[in-house]
Amino acid sequence: MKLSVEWLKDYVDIDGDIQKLSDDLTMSGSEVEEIEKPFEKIKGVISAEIIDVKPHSNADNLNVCKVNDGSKTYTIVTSDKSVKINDFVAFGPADTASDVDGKIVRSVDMRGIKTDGMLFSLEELGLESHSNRVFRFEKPVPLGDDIVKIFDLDQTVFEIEITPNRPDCLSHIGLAREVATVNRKILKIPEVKVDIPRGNVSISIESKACLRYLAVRIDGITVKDSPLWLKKRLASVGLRAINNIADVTNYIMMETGHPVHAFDFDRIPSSKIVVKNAKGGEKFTALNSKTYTLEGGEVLITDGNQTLALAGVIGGKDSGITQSTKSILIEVATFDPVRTRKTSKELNLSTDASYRFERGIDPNDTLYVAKRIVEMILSLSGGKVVGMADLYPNPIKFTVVKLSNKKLSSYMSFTPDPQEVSYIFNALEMKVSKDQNDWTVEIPTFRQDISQDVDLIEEFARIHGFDNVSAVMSMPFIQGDKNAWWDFKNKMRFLSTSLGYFENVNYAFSDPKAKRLFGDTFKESPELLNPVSPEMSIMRPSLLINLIDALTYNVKHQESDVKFFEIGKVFEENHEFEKIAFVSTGKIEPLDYTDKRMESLLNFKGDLETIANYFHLDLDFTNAEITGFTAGRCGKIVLGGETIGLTGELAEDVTDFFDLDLPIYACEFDLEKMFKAIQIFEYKSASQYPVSFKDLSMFVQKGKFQTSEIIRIARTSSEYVRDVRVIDFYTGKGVPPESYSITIRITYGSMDRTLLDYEIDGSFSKLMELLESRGITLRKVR
Amino acid sequence: MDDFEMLVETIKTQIDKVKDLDEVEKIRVATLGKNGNITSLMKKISTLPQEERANFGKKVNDLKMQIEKLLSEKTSVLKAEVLKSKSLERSIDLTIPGPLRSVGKIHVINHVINECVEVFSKMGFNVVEGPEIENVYYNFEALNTPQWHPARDLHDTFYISETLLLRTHTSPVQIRTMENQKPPIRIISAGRVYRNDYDATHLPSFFQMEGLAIDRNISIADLKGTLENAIKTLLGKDKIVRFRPHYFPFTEPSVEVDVSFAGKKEWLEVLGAGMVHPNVLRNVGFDPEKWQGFAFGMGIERIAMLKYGINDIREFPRNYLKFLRLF
Repeated sequence: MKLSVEWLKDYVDIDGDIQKLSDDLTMSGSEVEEIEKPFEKIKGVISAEIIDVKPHSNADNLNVCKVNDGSKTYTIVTSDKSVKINDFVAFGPADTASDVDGKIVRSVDMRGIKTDGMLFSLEELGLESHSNRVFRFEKPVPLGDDIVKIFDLDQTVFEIEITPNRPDCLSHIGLAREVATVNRKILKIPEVKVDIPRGNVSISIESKACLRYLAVRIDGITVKDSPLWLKKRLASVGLRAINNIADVTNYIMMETGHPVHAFDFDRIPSSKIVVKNAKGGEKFTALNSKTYTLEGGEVLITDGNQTLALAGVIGGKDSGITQSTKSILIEVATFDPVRTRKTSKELNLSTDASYRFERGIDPNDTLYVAKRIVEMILSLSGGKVVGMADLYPNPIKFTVVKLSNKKLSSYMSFTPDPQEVSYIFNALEMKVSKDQNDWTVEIPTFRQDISQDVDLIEEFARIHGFDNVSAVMSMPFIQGDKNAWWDFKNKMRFLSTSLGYFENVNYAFSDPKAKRLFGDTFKESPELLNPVSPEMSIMRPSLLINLIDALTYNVKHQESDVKFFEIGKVFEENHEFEKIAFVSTGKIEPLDYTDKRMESLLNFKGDLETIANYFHLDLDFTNAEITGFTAGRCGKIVLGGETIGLTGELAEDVTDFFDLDLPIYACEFDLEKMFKAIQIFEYKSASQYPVSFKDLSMFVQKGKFQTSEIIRIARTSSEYVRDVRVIDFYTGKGVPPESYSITIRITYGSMDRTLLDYEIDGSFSKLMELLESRGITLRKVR
Repeated sequence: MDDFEMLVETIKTQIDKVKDLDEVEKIRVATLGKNGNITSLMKKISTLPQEERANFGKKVNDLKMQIEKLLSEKTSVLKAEVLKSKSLERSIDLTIPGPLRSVGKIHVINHVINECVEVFSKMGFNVVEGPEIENVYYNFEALNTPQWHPARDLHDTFYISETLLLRTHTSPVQIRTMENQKPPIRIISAGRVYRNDYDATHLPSFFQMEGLAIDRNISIADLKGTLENAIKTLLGKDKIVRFRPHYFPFTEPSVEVDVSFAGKKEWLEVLGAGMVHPNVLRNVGFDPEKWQGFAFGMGIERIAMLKYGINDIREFPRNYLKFLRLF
């Protein structure tokens, strides 16, 4: 909502400066977002007199004029042939003057004649939407004076955010009421004197969504330009002048907040108004020259047959005011907010009128608004009131809301001064009375946002000022609970970052094309009905797609070593849950120049095991074919017998899709399942006796044995085995093809004594026999 | 100068020329060794007549001691030189940067969320979470925002179906909490929210933190006290906070909270808040005559941008290492 400060002064006296006014509005709930100077770009335009006019020797449609600004004479060329000697004009000298858009006037060559400037029209001064002729003063004016001063264009306008509950503030009078209340001033609502006789106008309402319809017929009007003061006011609030009828309807809307409409009465074929609901399928051509097809249910203003307007939204092209209009029908109506909003949404058409009607217009100001507009039209366009009709099927009345002093005090944390309370409510035009403990408040119909006691508390609080309420912390303290899941997620973050991974927070939308590369690896996920783009049209079924995308972005921007992780929601049909995912490429230790190792599947997997071990969990990894990953270099992650995730090297078609030419290692698992598997830590005392170590190297044939089996055999080979771990892994020279060499270290020990050599040797021999009996080639024993 | 003195001079000249310990040793052998010239002189003593012995002996002894002293002095000088050259060889230039371990960073979004959680946890607020795909009821209706309410214009909503949407704010968590928990209540909930609005200053998904306090007698003063304290803890004690009346369908009265960084010259909105609307309390079966309280919601990106001076909101979802390393 644009509020002109100069216009506001018609309704309320303003003390103090613009900033104070802005603060008063902002701090009572009408936030001033911008303080604008709508004409500030007009510079250097001065009053001048035409002293000579001659036809242009090279162009029939142009005249060459001499212009005097009181001290100097300039040459200009104009296409406005009505310019005559002794006309007083608004002249912009070249290189110094600029128009309302800030465009600087330049000297140009017009068919062989160099101009020293140009004559301004009202369009270039921002006061008209379209001008056919240059501006001429009606009377002589002093020469060389600044047009901004002469026209009083140094206007201030506030751009105000009006919240959806306050349609009454979408008007100058409404905002004046706010300013008056805050500053304890009197609100001056313009008086109306005209008496409009009833009759001579026929209306019928056949739609429940039309709450009131008043129409006034005025004959004998003259459509012409509005006076400058009116043009200036409309222009300052962003509305360009059209003609005196359209301008007055806009003016009344900006003044009272009530949208009004004018029909050309002679273009209403049946001469009567029928308000009814659209059946559906009708076509309607609006004032904006666009044709809309209606769904049905929209409220139409018709003549019984032909549609004249889309109620509360926009007028029709065929019933609008033209230069030749002589007789008009003024509509002051109220339509159902929800119905108006539906229509506006369906047709994707929001107008100043629909914006107000969908927030709620007071039907009880109808007569006042009608009188106000009739008075203005009669004074600006002439004419005579023929009559009016006013249908108001179900009149609404003020409501009464009670507010207990106890509740008011409890909310405010102090007991307000009763005089202040009654002043505030009265100033907001609510009648208030107080008995022992309660306030009884009559709510005017223009404040349909107030229906409960808390609404009244808000009225008091915002006018009293939130700044005038103390800031204390007096609520009873409640001991907070521990949220183990939340803490676990943070532990995961710290662990992952300490392993060199940077956390990502990616969008939760994914690209279905990228998902398809993974086949049925990821489940189907919900699709958006209205995505921002096809690449963001499904909810992510996995964190990996977007993580790989982020990794790609980094690789393409000179980051060759990328280790990322993300914790977040993934989505399946009717199910959302949290996962963690990791991706890695490049050097394992990019900042360590002594460590040249590149990321490998085993090292990557080791990071996951490190995390699991931290929580005393054993993750099992089993090789499996997974779409989207390289065959033989991927598998499932199993925890407690249940598959919770996957890991591996991305398949070539995936890296190709992302235009990457690097091995990318990726992993993802269900974080909630891991959390649930964590056991409360139980303390066990360690053995006091020394342990012994035995190392054993062997060849393992791929496809025949797995290291996990060997470890399991070793673990269960004797009661003295305390621990088994792999201490070396090797492939290459000396190792048969399709095999690898590993060395395991077995720790032998007992809780209650030091084991004897023969006990250890016996156990170890038994293990070797077990392994050899399974066909494993032992290499080295220590 | 007698013979002895000449001998000393000669040996002294020899020692002066010496460059390493081996040569010192050679001189020592040549003078004080078994067949050295000093040793020979010592042996000569016994062959001298009795009366000459004492004088001669003393001179030879002095000579020996002089030579020994010269040799030992030279030895320590040379040893010190050797030590010096060896330690340089073994030395490490500590200005060479050490090979670094790579440590990752938590994303600034979670960093800020954790800071907010810490501030409110200390005030007794519990962390709860809620679904991101929400029911229309929880996102709007239960929060006093019926269909066709103009306030829905402020929430450009992503829909999954007619009844399911991506939550446009964290406020549905309020409803879910109150449906499952009796007052008194103090909760906070941080998480992802979605709006169908994507340009240079708007992301289609961003993060919010919601808070809710319900008790017998919670007032606007408590709301102000709690939020002012939290904002100052998060953004700095020197910040000025103002509470500006606003409108949300689910709070009444409602405020927006602005912070001034430049001494009241410019106000930046950091959160929305208000007293929980009685209709919302009724929707979850709480009697608004018995229970009242406040709710608030703040934008995590907004706080992060103010805290660190980040000027492009699109940095957050980009996940560029040059950005991630900063925090």
